[in-house]
Amino acid sequence: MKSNIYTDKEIVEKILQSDKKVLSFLYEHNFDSLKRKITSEGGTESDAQDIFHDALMILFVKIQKDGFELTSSIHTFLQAIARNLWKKVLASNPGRFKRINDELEIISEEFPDEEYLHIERRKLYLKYLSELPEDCKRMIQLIIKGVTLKEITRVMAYNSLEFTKTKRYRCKVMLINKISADPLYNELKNERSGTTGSIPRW
Amino acid sequence: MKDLEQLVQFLDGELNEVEKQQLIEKLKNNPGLSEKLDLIKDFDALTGDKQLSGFEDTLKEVEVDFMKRKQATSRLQLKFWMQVAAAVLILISAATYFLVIKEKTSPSADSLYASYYQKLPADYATRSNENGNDLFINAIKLYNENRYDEAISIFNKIIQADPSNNAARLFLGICYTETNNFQKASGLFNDILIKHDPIFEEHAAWYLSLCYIKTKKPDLAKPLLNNLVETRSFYVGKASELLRKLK
Repeated sequence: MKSNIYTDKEIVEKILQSDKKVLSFLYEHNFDSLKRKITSEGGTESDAQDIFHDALMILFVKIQKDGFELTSSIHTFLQAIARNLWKKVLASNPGRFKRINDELEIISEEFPDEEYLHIERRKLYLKYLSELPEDCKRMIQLIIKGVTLKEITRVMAYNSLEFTKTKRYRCKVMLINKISADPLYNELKNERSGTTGSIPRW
Repeated sequence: MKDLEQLVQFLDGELNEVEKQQLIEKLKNNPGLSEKLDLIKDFDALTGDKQLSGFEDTLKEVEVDFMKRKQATSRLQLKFWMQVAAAVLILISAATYFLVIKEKTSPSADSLYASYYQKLPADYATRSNENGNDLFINAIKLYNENRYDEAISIFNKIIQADPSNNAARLFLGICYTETNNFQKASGLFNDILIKHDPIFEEHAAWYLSLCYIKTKKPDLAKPLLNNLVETRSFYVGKASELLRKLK
């Protein structure tokens, strides 16, 4: 059911609160038209799901930033992000999809923007994290959550804190080597405007 | 110790002061190592964003719910359209069946007429009109030879001369049915019925009912056929059959 039951301001506020109803509303309001466009250009429903998911992630990161301002309706804004993402997919897979018109060439000048690169790098990091051996993956996930080494030693049933430290550094080295060897990382890194944060947690 | 391993240990707080200073110097002069530091910092910032991770978890739940709802709706729509298609198919089948059965049980006017129409044998007429009228005998002869136009001309002359001659009227009517002039034939058969001629009445009724069937007026034929059945006429068998087929 489509109805304008939320103002754009409410939607922005509720996205930051990860409000399920608003996210459902955005799906109801936007997904079908995006899916029609994507499937008409040779994509699949699964492509549409991935694109819409990433578009919402990018929207979230944009909203998170200080000074976020909407210059159009939230739906138009979201659709624009999704369409740019789709154009990027089309442009990077010229043989896979139908080339409908010259629209492919007209990707927004601001695209790929900082938030897109943010989400893409995050996806890449999580991909390599998920490919680590199970014990390494679990350990780094616990570290990311801020669990102490002592607690990790207990949870992972390691013999000593020293063993946990050794394991930690080996897992991290393995992960960093894998990520930095991926050409996509170098591509995303070169487009990155700069790094944020101070000394990392791990 | 390799530089990356040292960098990781530095970030883990595992290096002493001397090792830290050595590493800081290396970072200044080694862009590759410095990039690794950026990567570690970036990884930490992006994967450690709890608000973003929480949002993504919720998003995945919403996405799964939405797709389930959509699939359920699609299944309902599919079910609905299948029901519509089934209904249409049933209607088409029923209509086809009805038309076929109707055709079988209710033959067309033409086929009924063709099945039941037989030219009245003229020997019967001759016997009924043995009045020495040469003109009439001549007309019957032409009638038997299927020379209807000539027979019509003579029968008309006979009727003009003797308007009460229902034998001539009956055969003239049959000549007209043979030449597909059902309107004129009907008029003649009706005249005989109006006159209540007991000799020719049932023939006139039978041939008039066939004229009505041929001209697609079965409702006019039915009372005539009913009367033929009720009066146990010469045509009782055929009339009752025809009545059943007309129903």
